[in-house]
Amino acid sequence: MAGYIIQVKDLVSKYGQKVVHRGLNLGIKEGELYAIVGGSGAGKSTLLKTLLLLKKADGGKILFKGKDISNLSEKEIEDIKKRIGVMFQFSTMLSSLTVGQNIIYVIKKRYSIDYKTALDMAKLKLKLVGLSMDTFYMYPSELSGGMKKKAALAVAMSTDPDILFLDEPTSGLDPISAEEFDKLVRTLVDTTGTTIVQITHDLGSLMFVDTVAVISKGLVVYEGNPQNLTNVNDDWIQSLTNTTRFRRLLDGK
Amino acid sequence: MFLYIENNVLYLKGYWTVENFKDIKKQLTDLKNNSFDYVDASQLEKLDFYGGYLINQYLKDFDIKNIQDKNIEILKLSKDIPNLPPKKSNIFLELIEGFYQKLTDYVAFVSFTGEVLINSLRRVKDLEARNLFKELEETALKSLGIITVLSFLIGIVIAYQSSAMLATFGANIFIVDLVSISLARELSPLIVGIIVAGRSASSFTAEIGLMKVSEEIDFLKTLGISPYSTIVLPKLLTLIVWLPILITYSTILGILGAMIVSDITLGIPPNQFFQRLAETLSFDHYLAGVVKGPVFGIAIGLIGVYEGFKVQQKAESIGFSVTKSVVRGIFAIILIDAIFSVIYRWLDI
Repeated sequence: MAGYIIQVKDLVSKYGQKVVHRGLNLGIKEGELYAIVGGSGAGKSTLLKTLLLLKKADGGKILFKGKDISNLSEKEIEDIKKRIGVMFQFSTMLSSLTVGQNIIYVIKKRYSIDYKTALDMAKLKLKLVGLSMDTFYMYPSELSGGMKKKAALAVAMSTDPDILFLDEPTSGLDPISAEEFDKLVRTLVDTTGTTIVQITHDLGSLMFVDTVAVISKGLVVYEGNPQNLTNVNDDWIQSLTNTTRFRRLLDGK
Repeated sequence: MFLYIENNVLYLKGYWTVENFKDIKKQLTDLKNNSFDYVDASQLEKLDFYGGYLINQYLKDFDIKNIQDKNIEILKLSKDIPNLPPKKSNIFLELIEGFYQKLTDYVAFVSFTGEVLINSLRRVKDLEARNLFKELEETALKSLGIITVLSFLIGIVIAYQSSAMLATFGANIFIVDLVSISLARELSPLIVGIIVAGRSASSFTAEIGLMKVSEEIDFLKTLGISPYSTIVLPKLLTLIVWLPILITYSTILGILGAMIVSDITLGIPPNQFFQRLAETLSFDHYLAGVVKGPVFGIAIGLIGVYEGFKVQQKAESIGFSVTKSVVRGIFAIILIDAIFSVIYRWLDI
C-alpha cells in the first residue's frame, strides 16, 4: 500500500487575527489523484500556499514523505521545493519565452541539466500532454485557453515532480475541454505515477479523482471517495450534493 | 552506485530519477569498455522520464529484464522523441512582414485618430466634468513636481555650462539671451513633452488596456456610451489645455535657475537680469514654444490611448503596449519638434 507523500496534522493558519484553518488534517497518498474542494473563503488557497511552502503554518505539522518540514534545514526545504510542481490558476508561464523555452528554462534552472537533454525532455513533455510540436515555438499569449492549460501542465511536469498541485485547472475552459483536461490528468496519474492534487470548484473533475477532501469552516469535514459524499452528514456537503449539477453528474456516472 | 555488472549482466539499482541524472549518465558513459549480455532492472526502485531517457539512449540495444510494471510505462513514454518542425526563418520574408505590419499599424493609427475625432465630437454630450477633473489631477497636477525640479535644474546647468565661455569673451550679459530663448523656444517644450509622454502616455495605455482586458470598454459600448467621449476626450482636452501652461511654468523655472547661477558666477544681479530679459525674450519667442504644447498634447494623448485600445484580451499584452506607447510618444515629440523647427525657419519666426 502506498505511503503518504504529504500529511497535514492539526494545521492552524491565520491572517492577523483571522483564523483560516483551525486544526486541519489530511493525508495525500503517493500516486493518487486528490482533490480539495470547499466554498469560497473556505481556506483552499491558503492551504495551497502552505503546502507549496509559500506560507508558514501558524500551528500544527506538515510532513513531506514522513519528515516534518518545520525541522528541516533551508537546503532540505529547497530540495523539497524542487520535488513539487505547480500549475497556477491562470496557467502562469514566463510570457517572454516560448513554451519550449519555458520547459527548458525550468529544467536547466532546477537541475542544471545539459541543453540537449532538456530539449529532448521538452519535446517528450509536450507529447505527453498531447500538444503538437508546433507549440514548442509558440508564446503563451498565442495559445488558446485549453492549450495554455496543457502547456502549463507540461512546464509543471518538466522535472518529474513527486507531487503536482493544480489550482483550479479547469476554470475558464468549456465543458468539452474541461473533461478532456480531467481525463488527461487521470491518465498522467495512471501512467507516470505522479501524485496530483487539484484545488477545484469544478464538480465534474471530482468524478475522476481517487480522494476528495472537503474543507469547511477551517477543517476537513470529509476525506474519502467522492462517490460517498452524499452520505456525509455536513451542512456544506449536503448543500453541495443537493445541487442539480452534482446529482446529474452522479446519475451520469 | 546506480548500476553494476555481475556474471555478464548489467544490474540497474536505486532511484533513476532527475536528481541523480548526472551521476547515472556518468556511470553509463564509463560503461563503454564493459560488455554484458542483458540488463536486469529488478533492483530499480524508481524510474522517471530522465531515468527512462538514459536507458533509451544508452541501453537501447539490450534486453531489459525483470522491470517492474510501474516502470514499463515510463520507459515507453520516454522512448520516441518527436522531431520539431523546421523553424520558419526567412529574413527577407520577415523584413517584408515587419515592414507591412508597421505600415498597417500607421494606417490603423490614422484611422483611429479619425474615429476618435468623429466619435468624440458626435457624442460630446457623454463628456463629464468629473472625468475632466480626474484627468486634470492625474495628468497635470501630478506631473508638476518632476517638471519643477527638472526645469529648474536644466536652467542651472545651461547657465553654468555657458557662463565660463561667455565670461572669456566678456559677453556675460548674453547669458540671459541664451538661456531665455533656448528655454522658451526649444528646451521647455521638449522637457515637458518628454516627461508627459513618459508619464501620461504610459498611464493612458495601462488604464485603457486594463479596461479592455476586464471588458469595461465593451460594457460601456453595450450601454450606448462612447468610450471615446468618456475616456479619450477628457485626456486629450486636458493635455491640449494643460501642456502650454506646463511649458510656460517650465520656462519660468528654468529662467529662475539660470538667474541664480548668473548672479553667483557672472555677477549679474537679478534686476539687471530681468531688464535684459524684457529686452530679449519677445512674445514671438514665447509663442513659438508654447504653441507646440497642444500639438504635443494631441500626439501624446492619441498614441497613449491608441496603444491602450490595441491591447488584446490578455493581460500580458499591456506591458508590451505600455513600452510601445512611451517609445512612440517620445519619438513623436522629437519628430514634431523637428518639424516645427523647419517650419519656423521657413517662416523666419
